[in-house]
Amino acid sequence: MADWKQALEAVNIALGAISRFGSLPGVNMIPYIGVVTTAASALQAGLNAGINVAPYVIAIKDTFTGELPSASQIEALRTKIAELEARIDAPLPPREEGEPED
Amino acid sequence: MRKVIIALTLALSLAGCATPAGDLFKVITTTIENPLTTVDIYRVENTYAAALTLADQYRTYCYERPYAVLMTDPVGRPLCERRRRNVRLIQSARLKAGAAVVAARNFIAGNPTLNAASVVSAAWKAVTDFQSAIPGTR
Repeated sequence: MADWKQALEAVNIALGAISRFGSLPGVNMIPYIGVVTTAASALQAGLNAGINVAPYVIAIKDTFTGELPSASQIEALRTKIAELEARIDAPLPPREEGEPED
Repeated sequence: MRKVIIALTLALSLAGCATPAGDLFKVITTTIENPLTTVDIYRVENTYAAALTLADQYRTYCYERPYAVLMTDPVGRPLCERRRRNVRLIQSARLKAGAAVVAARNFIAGNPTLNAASVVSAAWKAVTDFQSAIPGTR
């Protein structure tokens, strides 16, 4: 439990550091800073709800400590993404009685 | 003595112009690497995967029980009352996020020396929009 909390903290610190770097006058190498910091809220929301997003938090944290993702890690992530996409995109069951229209 | 002077003069003249010339050559021949790399898109993909996990959890939670039963649940009711509409919004935002992530990934893979800031930025925005479409994460 403590691991992902520390990881999220590390990610937030790293994103904050990038944000400060991006706000320096004349430095505009990373123009997507504004949305990066808000993206962390998805991770926070998942952790708060007890949903297992810890592996993703830890994976992001590792990129800030100089560890580059291996080809197998990238492949595994993309496989998981495809699996989740298929579950979310699956057609909805028929509308039930009392259930409002879209 | 004359040979030494000539050699010294030659050496000094070469040294004098070798540095700027060498630097110029280095500048001309150095490949300018993309400041945004596979690590950047890997971060986006992990955030996207986290949002997908939340979306999947929402859909599962709101569809594992009959609608009538959910509406008697003080937690389930506010979260799932408009479950059909919410899942459709999630699906729509998910399609955009997935497309933006793949576009950024392909751009970086295919253009290692071009600036990928705009496509990575678009991917981040699409992923955060997707995340915002998931009830409970706003």
